Amino acid sequence: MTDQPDTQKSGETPIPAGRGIEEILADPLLAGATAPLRDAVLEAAELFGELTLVVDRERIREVCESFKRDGYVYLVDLTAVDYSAYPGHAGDLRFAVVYHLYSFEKNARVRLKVRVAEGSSVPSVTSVWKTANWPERETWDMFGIEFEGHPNLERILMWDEFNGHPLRKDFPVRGIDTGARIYPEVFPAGGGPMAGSTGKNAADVNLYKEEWVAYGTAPVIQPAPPPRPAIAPPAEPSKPAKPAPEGAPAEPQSPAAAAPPAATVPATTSDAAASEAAPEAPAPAAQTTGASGDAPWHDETLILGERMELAKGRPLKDLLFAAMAQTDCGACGWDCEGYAEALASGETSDITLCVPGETETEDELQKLMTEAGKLRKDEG
Amino acid sequence: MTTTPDSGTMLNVREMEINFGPQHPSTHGVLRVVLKVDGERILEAKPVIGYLHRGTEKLFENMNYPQCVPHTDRMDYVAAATNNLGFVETIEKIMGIREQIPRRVQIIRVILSELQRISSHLLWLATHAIDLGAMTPFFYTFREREEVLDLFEEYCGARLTLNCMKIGGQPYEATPAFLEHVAAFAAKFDAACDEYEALLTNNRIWRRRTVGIGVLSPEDAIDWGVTGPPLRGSGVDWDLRKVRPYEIYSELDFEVPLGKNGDTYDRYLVRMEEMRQSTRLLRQCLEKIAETPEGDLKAKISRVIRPPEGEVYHSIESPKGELGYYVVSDGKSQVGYRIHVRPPSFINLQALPALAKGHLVSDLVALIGTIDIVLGEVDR
Repeated sequence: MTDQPDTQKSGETPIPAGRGIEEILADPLLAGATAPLRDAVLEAAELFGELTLVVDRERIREVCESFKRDGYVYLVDLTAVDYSAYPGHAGDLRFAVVYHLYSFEKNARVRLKVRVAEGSSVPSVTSVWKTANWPERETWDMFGIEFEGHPNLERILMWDEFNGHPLRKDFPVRGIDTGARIYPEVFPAGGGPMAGSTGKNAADVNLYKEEWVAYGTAPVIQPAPPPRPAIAPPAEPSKPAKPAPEGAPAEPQSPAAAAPPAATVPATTSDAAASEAAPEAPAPAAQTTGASGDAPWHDETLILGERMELAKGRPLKDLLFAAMAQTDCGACGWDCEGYAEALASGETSDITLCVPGETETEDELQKLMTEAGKLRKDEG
Repeated sequence: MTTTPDSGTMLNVREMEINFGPQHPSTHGVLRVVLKVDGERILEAKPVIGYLHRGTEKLFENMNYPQCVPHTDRMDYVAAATNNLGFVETIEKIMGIREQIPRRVQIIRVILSELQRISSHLLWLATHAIDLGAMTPFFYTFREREEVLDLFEEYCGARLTLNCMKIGGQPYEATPAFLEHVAAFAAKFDAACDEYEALLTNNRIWRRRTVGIGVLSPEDAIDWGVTGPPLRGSGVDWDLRKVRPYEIYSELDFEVPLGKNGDTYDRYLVRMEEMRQSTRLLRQCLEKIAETPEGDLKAKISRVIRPPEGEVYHSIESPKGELGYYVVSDGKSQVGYRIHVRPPSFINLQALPALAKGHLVSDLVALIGTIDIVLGEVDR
């Protein structure tokens, strides 16, 4: 540490050294690995009983292979140091990538270093040791040093959209405003300097947002309750024996019959006049499709058997519609009715797209499509 | 969730991509594994980490050395004492005061780290067993773990984030009462280990869930850089306490348990035996500490910690594997220029995709358990 031979030649940050470079390279721990590649070693140092070699950047993989052949089969650690703020540092080579190797036979550890300028890359050693994969990703994430030939050089600790390299000395410890926002439509800018979006799929983000809006701010509209003739009569105690005449003859109107008891609810509609008119226009707004109750099966609380029963005798499109999960989730690319139409019209023949319906829906669709002659028996 | 239909074949083969975590209770924290599955069979597992990244290494560059010690607690938060030990030893090594550390301090450190190994392995056993459906071991192991935490509380006042070591010495004396309690614990812990083993070792379900699951060959283990019980479970006789002894481990008599097949069951057996060996070490330490004078708790070092210029890598055997610290000091400052942590969990977790390939989704739970990760350490 007192004298620093050979280390000043490149004008870079000196590594404190004890023995001279040739003496160190002749060390039995290193000789086997470095003898064939003497010219790839730029500097050598020994400190606290640890050996450090500074290696030519272009040839690091070669050197690592040589060390591995010589018994250094275990890559202990791989990281980097940003020397740009180091006292006395000068020159372009601001980073050093640091490798720690270990040999089980020799019970010895060796440190290799590669000096790197900003913007230049280092050959990846993932082909030498599988271990190198994540540490190299972390080094890229934290310092922005690229590794040539790495199979998957992505960020590992920071999120993908992050636009800095935190362990560089010029990165402030308080963090930076990366400009990334979680759900910018919901949370405007200024929500927090470190907020970042992790959702890559815009459709997912919108889906969640709609759920939030529906849950938090918009009035929650309940579908009209199904007709229950047996409950209506007790309102008129004088006629207990005849419930049928009211409920039975006009099916489409039966939701209206159930509506009046709930007439106090329309506080959600702002207009008082509208609330008076409400009983005559009974809650069709709750139905997103199949207006005027044309699709009574469009209710995700019904089980498949009930839905198919309601659609019995209808055309193929309606049967297919009833087989869907009725959530209108959009996973197939349509709403439930749209997917049924697409299948019925032959626009698509893929019956596996209904995600919430799972195999139940798929099996039903297969049955219906096969019966209609749209699928061969062995297809799908 | 996306599905890839393959309607051209007779069989309806579907590759499905599912997210395992980060909120899954069996991922032991915020690990996310993106799985590509064919039915229950895992085709590809891709761990996604970084959800607990707190920039510990960046924080280390902005605080002086003694201030870093409590931050090391927060990495592997179920094994704080060994984290402390690794850090203070590294700084002592770069300051060149390893030889001056009083003997009593060294013994106290070994007692604390072996207690910590026991408590960490107990937590591992509890969660690993409960993941695989064995509820009872959880109650048994937490009974003893509670006692270990009580011992820590008696020593330093904290139960989890201990901050129980100082650079150059120990902050507190091991009182006769504390040593007595440690002795009482060591005396009965072997019997407790027998109880756990009675529940699991020959249990038919446990064996069906662990034998032959996640086999790691010795060559692969070394290539992946796996250390700690997973490496020894594959039969590689390598324990830093033996091969590069620190503190007083060279004087102590203990065995390094090894597995044969490198499967989940062998790793379980290795950890069970390690707990017994730790009790053995505790008993020996209690004998040795009686011969040292009380009150000798600090090396003669200056109040200001300012290591000389240089860099050093030092590692210890933490309960999870090789825990290393790489410290670069510029010699002028009380703040580390660069402090890098080589966490065992981070490197060991890399082997998960190789282990999981071809197994069932339910086995993934066993594999995450058997690697014994702590996400605080993986993400830092």
